Amino acid sequence: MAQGGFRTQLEIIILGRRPPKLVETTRQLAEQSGMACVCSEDVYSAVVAVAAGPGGLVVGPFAELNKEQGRFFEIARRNGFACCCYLDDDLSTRRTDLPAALERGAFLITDAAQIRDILTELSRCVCPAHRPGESEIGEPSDRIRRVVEKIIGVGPPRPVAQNGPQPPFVEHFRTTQDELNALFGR
Amino acid sequence: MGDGDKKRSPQLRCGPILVAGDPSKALLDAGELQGPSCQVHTDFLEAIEAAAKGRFAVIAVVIRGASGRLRSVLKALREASEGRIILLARMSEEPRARRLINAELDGSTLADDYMICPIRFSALAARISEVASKMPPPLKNSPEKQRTAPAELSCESRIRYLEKLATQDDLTGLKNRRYIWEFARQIIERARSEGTRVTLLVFDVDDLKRYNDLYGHLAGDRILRQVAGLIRRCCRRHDVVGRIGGDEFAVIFWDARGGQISCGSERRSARADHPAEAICIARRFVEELEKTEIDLPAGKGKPALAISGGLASFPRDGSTIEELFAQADKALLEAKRSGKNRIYLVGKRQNDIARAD
Repeated sequence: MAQGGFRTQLEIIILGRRPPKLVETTRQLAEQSGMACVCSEDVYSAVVAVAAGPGGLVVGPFAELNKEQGRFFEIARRNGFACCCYLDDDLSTRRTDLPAALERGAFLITDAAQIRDILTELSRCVCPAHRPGESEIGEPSDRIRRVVEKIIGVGPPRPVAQNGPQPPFVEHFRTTQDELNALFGR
Repeated sequence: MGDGDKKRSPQLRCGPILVAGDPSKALLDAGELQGPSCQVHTDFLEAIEAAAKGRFAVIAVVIRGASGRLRSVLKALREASEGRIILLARMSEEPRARRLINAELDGSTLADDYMICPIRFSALAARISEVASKMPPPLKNSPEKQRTAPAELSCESRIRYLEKLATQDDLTGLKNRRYIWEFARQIIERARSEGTRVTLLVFDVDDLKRYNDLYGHLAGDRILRQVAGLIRRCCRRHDVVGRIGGDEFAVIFWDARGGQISCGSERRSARADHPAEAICIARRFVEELEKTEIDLPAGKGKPALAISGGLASFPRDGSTIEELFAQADKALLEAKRSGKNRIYLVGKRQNDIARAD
């Protein structure tokens, strides 16, 4: 399969319309990376998108993604999507929900620019040009799921993961409990 | 296969059903729902995911417990599945269910139908099978989408017609006594659990017997229809209005979530104080009555139309539907004894609330 065709299998779901900077940055980056970009009004329609999607990344405000007791994170994860939660100013009111979201594999970001690094890494991970072993195993959607599973730290170890180096950005982008404590001033 | 499955299998000819929401809030026998032909997801997000991945002929959505997100859930379910969406509504939720089945969404509606709960699963299955198996959901971009079979539509129409017969007063088009009592019972139950209030207005037409004797019963019927039309126009959309006896009417004023009331030029929240809002509506009704000419045969004069009524409020004047009706009825009798053409509020009998400042 051509590289371009493979890349378009990765889907970015933008949840909601706020903050505008996050939405605009994500949209631009998705375009630049040749990734499909889907906009969902709320977490309910986002479920439809992840259930039908090939896997990829969901980007949106934490408050929206965390609706319905954060069940969306699990649904996204089992459909091969990683969640990238933007932390807005009302962080302090949500401090009890954050550890649970992290446990469910969500990424936390505080700056829209961080999306660029995540997308670059995600794109590099699933691209056959960068990871030759990937192209030999399974359908593109399966490969994306495997990569996302690796990124968010779930699923059984795959043979392909043992062949190449582990993507380093998991540690970079996942907010640790220590960082959270620092954020909350504890 | 268990006994429940044996009982259900002939009833679920329509295909698999997805129940979204807590079935115990809509079905009397929710425990019997598990089976190969019926999936239950109390969590709405899980239900949407199931709808997107499975192929369901019907999705039954429990309204209770979905407050504030029902529209979003229905929109997502519509997007996810081609199955028919049936709302399971309590009587108090009926106005909302009606609005939702009429709400436009990209050329479709948010829901296809609704059923009043609580009901037994067997009743739900029978109804779904009857309607859905004869009207399978059309495939996307298929010519089937445009086709509707008249025989199948008539089946649904017949159900609607029977529902109407069971709940509507055929003379005035208002709700009948059975509906009013059942609605009042449920809305009081809800008000008790949510700490909201309900106000009941009971009134009858003054001297209707005299009009009947003078001009005939057809003239009396016309007066009743006039009064019914007037009270319906004066009330808020969600207030429930019915004829509960010969010339006796009842109105249930209740708090609709997020609704608004129009009173003169002012718009206020429907959750405003009871019975003040009901009094405001009753006043407007009396004003309209006074302006209305009775529809009598030509040359028979133009007498004024008048009513006497009693107003009782839950929980202040009674804690059950029986107590509330008894109190409102007592106030009505008091109004009659005091000279008719007035509305008394329970506990405030020397003051005609329809005219007091």
